[in-house]
Amino acid sequence: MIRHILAEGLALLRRRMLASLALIVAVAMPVALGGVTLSIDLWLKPILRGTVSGGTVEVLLRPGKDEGAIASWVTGQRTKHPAWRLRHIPKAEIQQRLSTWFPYLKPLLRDRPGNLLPDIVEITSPHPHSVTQLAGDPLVLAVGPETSFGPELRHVASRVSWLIGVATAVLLFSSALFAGIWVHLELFRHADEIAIMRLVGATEASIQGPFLFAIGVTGALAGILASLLDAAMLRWLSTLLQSIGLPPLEGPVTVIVLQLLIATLIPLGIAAWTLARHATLEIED
Amino acid sequence: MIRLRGVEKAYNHRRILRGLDVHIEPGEFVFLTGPSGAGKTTLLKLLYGAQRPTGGEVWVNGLRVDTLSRPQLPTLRRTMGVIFQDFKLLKRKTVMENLTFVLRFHGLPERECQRRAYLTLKRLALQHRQSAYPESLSGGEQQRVAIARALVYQPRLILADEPTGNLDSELAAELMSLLCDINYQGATVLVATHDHSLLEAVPARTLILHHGTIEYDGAWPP
Repeated sequence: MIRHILAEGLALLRRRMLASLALIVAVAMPVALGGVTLSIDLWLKPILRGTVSGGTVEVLLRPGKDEGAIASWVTGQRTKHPAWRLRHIPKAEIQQRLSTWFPYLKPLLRDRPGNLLPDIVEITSPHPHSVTQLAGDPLVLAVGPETSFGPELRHVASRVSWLIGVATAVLLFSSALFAGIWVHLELFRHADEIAIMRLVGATEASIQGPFLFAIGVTGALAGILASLLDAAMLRWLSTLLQSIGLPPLEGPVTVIVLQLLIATLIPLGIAAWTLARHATLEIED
Repeated sequence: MIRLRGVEKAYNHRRILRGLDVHIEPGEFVFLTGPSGAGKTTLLKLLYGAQRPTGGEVWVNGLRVDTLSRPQLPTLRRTMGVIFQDFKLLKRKTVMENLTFVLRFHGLPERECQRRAYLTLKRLALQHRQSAYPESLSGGEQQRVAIARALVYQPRLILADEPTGNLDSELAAELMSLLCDINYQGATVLVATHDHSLLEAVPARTLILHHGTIEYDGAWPP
């Protein structure tokens, strides 16, 4: 039985290679998009935590100060203002950001020693205006404008997530429809064969098995393709995000597993439903 | 083996079979005849569960067919071999595969499937065509493959629906001789035909179906 299912299922895939490839891509695209949306949501959560009700202010420190002095200044500010969240941006990161945004500075940054660059401390506070008091500090060169990056980011991210979510749902529905049509056409093409199989005593499992196997393989391949596309998109987005000083995007294992499951189960479910409907047509009342 | 009790069948209020009562014992050779549209094929379809009667009971090989659920039908069909007028061979499979394919549903190991299929083909003088596809065979050869497929798992009951319909008289005679041989070995054979020359050639119990009722049940010629 298993041998029959494997042989017939593979034959089915071989004969309908192009349609199967199209189905793989059709399923993979929305699943990959869904994965990216989910990954962005998961990535945004820690970033938005604590910044929603406040804002982040960039504080520029005087250049030439040693690491120890900066570290003790940061510790001192933390003690003085427990509500603030301070993050010291290393010189290397500033150098990288400047190189990305102002490529013509690259030779200058390469030739000059790194310690000529100022240090930046990002302070996130529920009351960003309170950070301006640091303007008189001898170590501080300048205090950046008060920003409301968090809420803006959340607003944009929720809009983008909503749009991608709708696009994903529409594409997923289309791919499910495609899978249904694929099975329906194959059943139509093999109608005579299926009728003969039933007449010689084949069980529904041996009739439906090859179709389910073929669609299951197609779905699993779509899941793998979706994970690869997802990883590529996240990598590309991460490059952009890192260049503006944000942490890179990561594709959690749960998202990959979810993608594999969705890509396999949706076409499989549609196929099982179509096959079950077809089977009920066997006996004429 | 086969028992019909008050079997009725109607399509769109048109009665095809009217209260049929038939009993066929194991090992019998029976012809089912009558004019076109008399209900011969419908009766056979009721026996292998392709249709359900409107009323009455259909018993085949100890199973009540009219109440069998869809998942139970393969069990019934594996106890019988059905030969169709249009052969119903799988075009994408070779002669050998058409037979081994059926044997796999009986849970036999691959080697045994191959062995039995070969022996059956040999019995029907088709072993030299085992790698051929049905479309490359003559009508007579295709019919013999259809018979081989019906016999390959040694069923206790053979149902044949107009088995000689596509054959010339010589091949028809050859086929009937084969069915007699199968019957001689113990299988019950029910042949639906409207060809009276077959009834003359093979003396056997004959059921004449007319307007959905059994008009005659007895030896032929009377």
